[in-house]
Amino acid sequence: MAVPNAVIVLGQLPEHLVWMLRQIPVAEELSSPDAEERLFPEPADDAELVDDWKMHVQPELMEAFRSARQVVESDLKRMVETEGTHTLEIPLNHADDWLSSLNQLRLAIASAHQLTDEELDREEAPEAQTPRDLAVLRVHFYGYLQHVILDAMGEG
Amino acid sequence: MATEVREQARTRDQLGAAWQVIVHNDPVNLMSYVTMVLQRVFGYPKEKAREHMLEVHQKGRSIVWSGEREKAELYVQQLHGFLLLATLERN
Repeated sequence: MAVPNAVIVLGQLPEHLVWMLRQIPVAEELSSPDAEERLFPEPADDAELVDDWKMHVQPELMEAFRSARQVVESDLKRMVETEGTHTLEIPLNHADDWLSSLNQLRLAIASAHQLTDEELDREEAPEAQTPRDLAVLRVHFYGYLQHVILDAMGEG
Repeated sequence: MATEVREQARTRDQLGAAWQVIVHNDPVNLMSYVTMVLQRVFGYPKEKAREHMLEVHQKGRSIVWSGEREKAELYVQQLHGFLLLATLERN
């Protein structure tokens, strides 16, 4: 059972991780056409239903995803800097918003950079020497963060 | 009257089993996340949710629910809300 007011504390965060965290709600991949296709997949092989879905369901989903990213953005604004490192507190009652935002971005990065299954299944993240390496590294880091949050929720 | 009732019931049964909700594999969503989502959306116990998740992972897709079209659409909407790749198909 979740403890009321429980928080997940990420401490001693170096600058490059702070940069990756701050990217979660605003990364450019989120607005790429490939990402949009994956974030809003068609629900069926039925043109009438797809049209109806785009008109009624997609705007609701868009709003829900935007709302989750706003919660994450507000948590990120409360990140504290002490002696060159940062500490981020994620309230456990924001866990769903974080999971959604992290998922949105992981899917968007994978789609926008057309990452392969092999790259996504790598045991270790690569050194970020190329933009593609950085994309893989980010997907892995955000996945690790999802694991941390799921563990804290008792769902790991 | 009795005939009419039976006819209506049969029609409802036929309609009831007509649609399937299918979750498709994608290499991004975490296994534990997919299991959690199936528990939340369908109220499945963890073991059943995990079985579906493994079927998705190993076979590429799993039929996670069958029934009326309206409810199937609602479930697909919820699954899309959790960013799972889901579709509904006529049985």
